[in-house]
Amino acid sequence: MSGSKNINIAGIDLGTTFSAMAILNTIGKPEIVPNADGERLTPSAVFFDEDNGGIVRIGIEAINSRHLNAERSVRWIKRHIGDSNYHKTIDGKEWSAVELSSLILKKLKQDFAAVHGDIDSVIISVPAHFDEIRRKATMDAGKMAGLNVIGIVNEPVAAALYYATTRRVSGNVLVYDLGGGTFDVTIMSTHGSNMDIICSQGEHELGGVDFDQKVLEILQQNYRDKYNSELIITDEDRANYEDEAEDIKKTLSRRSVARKMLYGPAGSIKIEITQQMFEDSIAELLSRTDLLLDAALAEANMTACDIDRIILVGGSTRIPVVQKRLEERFSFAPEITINVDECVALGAALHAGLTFQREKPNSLPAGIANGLKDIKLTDVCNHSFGTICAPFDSKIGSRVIRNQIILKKNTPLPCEVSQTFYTMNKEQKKLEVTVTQGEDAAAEYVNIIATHTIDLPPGRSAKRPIKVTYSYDVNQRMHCKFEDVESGKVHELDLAIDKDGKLLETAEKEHNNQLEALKIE
Amino acid sequence: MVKMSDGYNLNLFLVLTVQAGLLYLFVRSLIKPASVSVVLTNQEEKNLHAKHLTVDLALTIACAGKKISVLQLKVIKNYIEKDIAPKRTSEKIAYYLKLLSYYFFISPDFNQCSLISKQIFELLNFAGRYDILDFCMRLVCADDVVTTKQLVLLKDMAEQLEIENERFRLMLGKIIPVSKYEVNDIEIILGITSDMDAEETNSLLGKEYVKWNARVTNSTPQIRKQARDMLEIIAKAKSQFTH
Repeated sequence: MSGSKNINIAGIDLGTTFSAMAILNTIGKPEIVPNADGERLTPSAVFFDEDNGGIVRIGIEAINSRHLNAERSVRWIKRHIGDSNYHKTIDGKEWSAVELSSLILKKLKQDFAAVHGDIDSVIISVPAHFDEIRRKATMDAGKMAGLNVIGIVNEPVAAALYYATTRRVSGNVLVYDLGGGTFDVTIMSTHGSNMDIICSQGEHELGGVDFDQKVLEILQQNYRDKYNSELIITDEDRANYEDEAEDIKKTLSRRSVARKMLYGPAGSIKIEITQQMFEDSIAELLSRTDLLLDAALAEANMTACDIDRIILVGGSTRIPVVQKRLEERFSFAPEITINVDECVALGAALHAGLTFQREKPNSLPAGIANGLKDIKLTDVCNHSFGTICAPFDSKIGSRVIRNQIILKKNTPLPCEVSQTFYTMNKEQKKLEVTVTQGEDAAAEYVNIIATHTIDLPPGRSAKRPIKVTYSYDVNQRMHCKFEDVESGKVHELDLAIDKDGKLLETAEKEHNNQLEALKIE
Repeated sequence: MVKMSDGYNLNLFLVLTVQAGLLYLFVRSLIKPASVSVVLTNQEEKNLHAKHLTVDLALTIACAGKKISVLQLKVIKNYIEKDIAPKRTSEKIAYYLKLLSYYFFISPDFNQCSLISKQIFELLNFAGRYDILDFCMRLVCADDVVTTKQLVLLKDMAEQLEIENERFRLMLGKIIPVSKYEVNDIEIILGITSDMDAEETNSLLGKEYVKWNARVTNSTPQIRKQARDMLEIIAKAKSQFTH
């Protein structure tokens, strides 16, 4: 157990299929905190006990229970986080993705406390491509679980941070993070412990579960071919064969062939799936990884020759064809020296230490501070932020609604950018200001993350200047300022993901009460 | 005697249809679009003439590769009522007969599409032409399936109306869900042409990929669905061109 004077700083990798947690030890080195079963990874699965409504099972027990009662279980919650339309109904209660994620985090917190005591400060990792809504939802889940979430870190950044602190690295590093449900590519420039993130690109729905689905399709097709009957009838069958498919995929990462018995309603069948069959089935998904890689290199203004090292992160990078394609593309083998399942949590703990040091330098124990002293990380803005305006399209001959990007993606943090816009009409009394997130010029393709109406002074002509300033700090907090230049009237919006209002507080309180009543096992 | 499902007998139906056809041939002469040789000086007249041409164009495109549907007829009927003949009852009736004729027995001459589009180009400015292409896209989208022939005609129409390819595909991506395509024609959907080399193709696929990948988390479910479908098409094209 840590010394009582020590501060427990932790990092959590809240993954699509597995979650992991790490603590910064007394000399500032991150260590994985095993769960109550002694496992270093906890499956991100939730099961609501059928006999006792007050018990929620998290982890391996939830996976096993899913085969018996799939209706009361939930997996791959991360794919839905931030989606307000997603709900899982259990005993008449609708559980949102944030609430379900908070149950997993609560379990991690509980297991941590059993060994180290309470967590003082924690950072949760998210895919680099997560937008503000999803980042905030992840943070909300942490708060609902009773965690003091001091920030969010991008998964590839966390992995790179851990990697760079464990060995001497110089040059351009590409972090290839193919996890259970998401895929990110981050390119950074490193010089020892100095890391400058150059860019990140990511896919929201590409990862291990999609590869499993392809294996499942092979199983179903084989069964159909033999019996002209469906292999999967019930949700429990599906849960069972989804796990079988995952098992086959893992076997094919070690061997050239996997054999399984399928016990369907029309009879049993022994099937054999070769590595080649599997690779053919995932060819289109791998094409998407190639496209994303191309996009990241183009965004960094680099070619494959400019990359010095590739770090693999995420369980799906164990698939041999993934590594082979990278080797063919870059003419050198990717690094397999770090644990692809644990490095994100370990890096998140380091990031938590850096954040804590920045915010409360005097409270950080000397041992930890000393361990972190050489690390310097420059992150970038992960998305473009803009505002909706109505410029005149000379070709169409009228005004068109457009998204005008103000703060460009991949701008190094901290940053501040201003642009001037103009009012449209004479005697304009109000101005609707919006903050958008997205890369498109077409307004319908970007997400509006804030909107507000500003009153303007009366009796003015058209085309009065409005200065819009966006700033983004190192803690990924955004600040927006809309200034009516002539009157000097300023409207400010703080989009700090952990500071935006009473709604969260109410929801948090309500949920905490519900969580208190539940027993997490 | 063959009974129809709605209870009318077939003979009566045929008689009525033939009568409607004859009537149509009569009224067609009344509402036949003016040829391009007609010189219109007044912009209002030009606009109205372009709208008449649009109905012909819309009816032809709606029939491409399939039978015109009742939903599409409704879309055109609304267009006629709102944009062409809100008050002129006789003209409206003539148009309704025309719609019925297309529904029952007219097989349009698809070659006319280019010609009509060229005429519209002469009559309208860019904004007007853009609106007509927009209308025709929404019309084909009113049905469950958008045929390849319809997409080819829309592409040709865009070319004749001098609406650049990028804008055409932007409109296509916004208006027609990929899930409605009869066949995923990558030339039309992604703008890949046979004369492009591997580098050009990859570059174009890359740009399309980045664009649609950023829309996968859009707050509108329809856009999210379109983005997912587009990513699948792009990945298929990538596999196809790199292997």
